[in-house]
Amino acid sequence: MQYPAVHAQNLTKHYTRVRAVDGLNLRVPQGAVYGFLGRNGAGKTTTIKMLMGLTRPTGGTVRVLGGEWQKDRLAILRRVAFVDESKLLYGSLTAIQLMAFNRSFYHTWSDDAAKRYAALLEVPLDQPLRKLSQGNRTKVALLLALAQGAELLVLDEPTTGLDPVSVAALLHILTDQNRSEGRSIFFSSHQLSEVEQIAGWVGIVNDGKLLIEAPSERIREDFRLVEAVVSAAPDPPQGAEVISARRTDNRWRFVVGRHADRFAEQLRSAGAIVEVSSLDLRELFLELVGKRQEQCTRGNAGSTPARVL
Amino acid sequence: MYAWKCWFDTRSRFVTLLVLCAVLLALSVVPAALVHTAHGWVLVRGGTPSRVARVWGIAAGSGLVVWGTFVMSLVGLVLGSSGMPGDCNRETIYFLLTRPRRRGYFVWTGFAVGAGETLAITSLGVLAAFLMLVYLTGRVYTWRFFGVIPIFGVGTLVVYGQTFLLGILSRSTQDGITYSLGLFLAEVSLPVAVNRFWNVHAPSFLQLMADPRWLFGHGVHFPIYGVLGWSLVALSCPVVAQWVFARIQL
Repeated sequence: MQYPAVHAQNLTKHYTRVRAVDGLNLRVPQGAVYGFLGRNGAGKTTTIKMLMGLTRPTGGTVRVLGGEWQKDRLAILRRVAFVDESKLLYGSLTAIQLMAFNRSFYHTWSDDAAKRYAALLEVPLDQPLRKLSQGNRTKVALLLALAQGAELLVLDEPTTGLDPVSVAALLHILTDQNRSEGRSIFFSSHQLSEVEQIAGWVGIVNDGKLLIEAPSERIREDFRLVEAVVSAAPDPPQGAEVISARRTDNRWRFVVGRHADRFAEQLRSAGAIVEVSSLDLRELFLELVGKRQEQCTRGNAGSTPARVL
Repeated sequence: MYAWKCWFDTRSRFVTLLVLCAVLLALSVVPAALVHTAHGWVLVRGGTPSRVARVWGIAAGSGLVVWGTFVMSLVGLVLGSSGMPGDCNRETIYFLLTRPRRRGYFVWTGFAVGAGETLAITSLGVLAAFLMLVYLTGRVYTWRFFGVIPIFGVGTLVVYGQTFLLGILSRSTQDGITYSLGLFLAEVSLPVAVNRFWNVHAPSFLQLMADPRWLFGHGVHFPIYGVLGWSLVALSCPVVAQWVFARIQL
């Protein structure tokens, strides 16, 4: 049966005074590498905690590998590898002891893979973790997840604290795991270049809401920044997908996900001076979650989180 | 494997406590064999049967009670805050809770390892005291002395269990120790206060230790119901801990 690796619908987490996650819809296809982006405090880690069954949503549903946490907790955990944000493991144990400890939980564990990844990531195996640097502890946490043989890897900021060589090695391993073994990978990151490098899908979250979810290819090919000098923003034409609209005086910046040319044409016909340019992930991210002088929610801009296929 | 991990984390504390308790409990019975002479206190070994009985009685009724209470609280507090509650304390809880095992497995495994260690420490401590008494009096006065093991054992388990539970409840081993120490002091002092001011008999596990008449027979039986009752109190701690741990949200 084909089901998404992760499927969250209207996911909500409210604390007493904070709406950490607010009606988030997310779908990670099987076999995808999904980069989950957002600023500090955007709701990434809370979302990941809910995806991993570590905190109960206030509302909405989560299905991981087709299972629900309340009913299928152990079955899901057998098939999912998770590296949390802190990456804190037992300081008294060495990496070898931790590998032996972790092996006992998973029949899919591979000692060969563990050795291979340990060599690639240059993990010190025989020192207690408390004596290792933060970067090396992160490597051990990643090593345990990678050798687990899981169908889905959920990694919360996996490259934090790693040196550039280790980051490159990790990205290579993740790509390899995805391509050769078909593993789904869901990871959060602040490093847009890493996401751009390996993620086939991108989700951008801000203030607990998913602003966009789209294949990277679509972002490169279809997403456009439309800048216009116009007195008032027009309604977008049928089919055009205005994801965000920002205004400084009479100068507008629209991020358009589909039929940007059609939208630009309409603006021109209304007498506007229009400029259309392509967007890379960094520019898109800054347009969507950067500080806004004025936000327009006219048309379909800023409405329900966009899933762009 | 989690049992191995709990043992690995606590093994140095276990060995330290084992040695410390064996030495303390062995030394705790020595004052019973001291005799006051013109030259001061002198250690006298052996003696008449009545003296031997008195030495064993004093040793069981005072020295062991005082030092046993200290050992009980020390072992219970130290081991109760190690192992599994320590895993809740640190952010390592993320790792633990994402392993494919029922949460109750971690609670009961962690509790069992620590409980085994507490019982081993108290047993060997009492054995050390027994051997010291045999050395001091030159004979085994009564094998019933080993009845002290379940009494000490259950007392230690109560302190261990409550520290274990409070460590998980507060998700902080430090807070667990503080609350447990407070609770232990209340358990020790409240029954005495209630008895003195209101003449009401409140159960206390220290009473099990403070009255060693069963050691000599004389129609006084081993406090089996007291031991069983306090065992249930100790075992209720992991039950509550399991309930709490199963509902922990991060």
